Amino acid sequence: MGKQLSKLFKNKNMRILMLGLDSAGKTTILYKLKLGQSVTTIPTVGFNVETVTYKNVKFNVWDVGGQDKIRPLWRHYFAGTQGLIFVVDCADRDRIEEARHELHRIINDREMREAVILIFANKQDLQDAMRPAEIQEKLGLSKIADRKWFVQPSCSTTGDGLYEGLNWLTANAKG
Amino acid sequence: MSKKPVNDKGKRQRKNCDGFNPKTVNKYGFSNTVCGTSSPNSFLIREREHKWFEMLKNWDHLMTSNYNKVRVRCRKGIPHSLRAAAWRALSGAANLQQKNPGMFEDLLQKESEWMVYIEKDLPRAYQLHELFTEKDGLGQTEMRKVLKAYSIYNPKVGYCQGMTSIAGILLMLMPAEQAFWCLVSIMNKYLPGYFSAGLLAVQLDGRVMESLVHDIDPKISAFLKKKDVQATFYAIEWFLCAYTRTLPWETVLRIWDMFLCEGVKVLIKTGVTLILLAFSDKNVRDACDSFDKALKYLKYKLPEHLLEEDFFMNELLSLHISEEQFKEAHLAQLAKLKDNFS
Repeated sequence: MGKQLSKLFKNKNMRILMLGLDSAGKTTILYKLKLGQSVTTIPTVGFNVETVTYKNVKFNVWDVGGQDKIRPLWRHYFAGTQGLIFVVDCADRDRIEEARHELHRIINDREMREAVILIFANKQDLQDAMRPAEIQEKLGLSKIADRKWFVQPSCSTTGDGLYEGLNWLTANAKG
Repeated sequence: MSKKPVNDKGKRQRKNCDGFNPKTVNKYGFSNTVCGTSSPNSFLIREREHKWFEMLKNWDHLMTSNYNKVRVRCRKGIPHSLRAAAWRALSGAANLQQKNPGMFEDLLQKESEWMVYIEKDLPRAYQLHELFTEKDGLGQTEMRKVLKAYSIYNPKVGYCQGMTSIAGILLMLMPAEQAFWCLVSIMNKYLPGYFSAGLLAVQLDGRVMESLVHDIDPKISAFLKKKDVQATFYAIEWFLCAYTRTLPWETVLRIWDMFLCEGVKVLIKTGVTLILLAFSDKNVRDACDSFDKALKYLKYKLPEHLLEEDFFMNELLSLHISEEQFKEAHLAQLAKLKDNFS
């Protein structure tokens, strides 16, 4: 009982890895969550990391650059990840197959087996953006039964959907 | 991008939290960044300008007959008014351009499959510099040309993020065609393999840097190993952007003066200096008691005064790493890397 109570009141820490193709909006999401404002970002070479506290949970969010040549470095960040945030530019129809390929490569890695999977279906403000159901289908998520995953529509510049995503992570990640 | 905007707590912030503000542009064209106070007096500047002016007149002869003199003068810093000319001479870009008249314009007539990637990064490069803030303004237009021409010139590399940082610092000093030939020279001669898939060449140099840190200060090396803080994490941006995103701009320019004279080992030595400065204090090592904290410290919290031009250059120049040490470290790490991949 005492243990459960202390678990309830203690700040929980969660290690989050945020990946996705280049210019999907990862860094914008990170700083929108951290600062509450939309900032102009530079293409990430390497990583950004910030701690975001939300509802007594401390999210350590690692945002790693997404250009294809830099992607081989992603695996170095896998160890210890509890939640994967995979960000998709829903207006980029030409590269949704490339995104699917990368997503599956990540989640099939041994070190990512324990991670729950949150997809930010980002840039919903853009005309012609694919909707969550279409993203789910095109990313091949419907077939994945042995993992917890969720597609959250979002707009990184306004912040719409971001906290809903964190709520899902809190409720579903293994402690 | 150099110094990060300083907020009211005096803590360095992510550089692009604040937008561009033309009222706060400093002498290098950056908004919201403070210039150091360490520039030499005007008499010294004029004296150096005179020396460099003479040197540039007899460049080819000087480089073959008295390279040491050139190196010493690059280490002291090239006067800003002659930097463009000196960088073009040092890198060999001036010769390349002379040997290939019209090639830049010809390349621009062709199609590049990389344009979609380049276009995505253009509006995101150097947003705190006056040259690049305006959408499709002069800076962005010239950057587009330089990157497009390079992607066609060297289709094996094409375009890679980080190249905007390199092209940008050149464009702040010289027009597009000259910047293009400097970029060609830097990519092919100074940093071959850096921008190739998997970034193996960068990772190799990161390991060389780590092993040099180990030779110089085993305590710091052991601390980093214990926390699993590897160059693969923190040095990718240092090397691929050649410190343009890491150090105050005055320091960046001084590093580049040396880099274009002595080559990639300057980037490695700069990294060693940064690591030693960051973690030589035991209190700092104790405070950075996890992987996360150590990496965050390196990326966001290095005390500004350690990076100031005079202090940093003094540290860098007093760090002696012999050619043999570099060579040995390079060969040893290359063999290890090959083992890992075989």
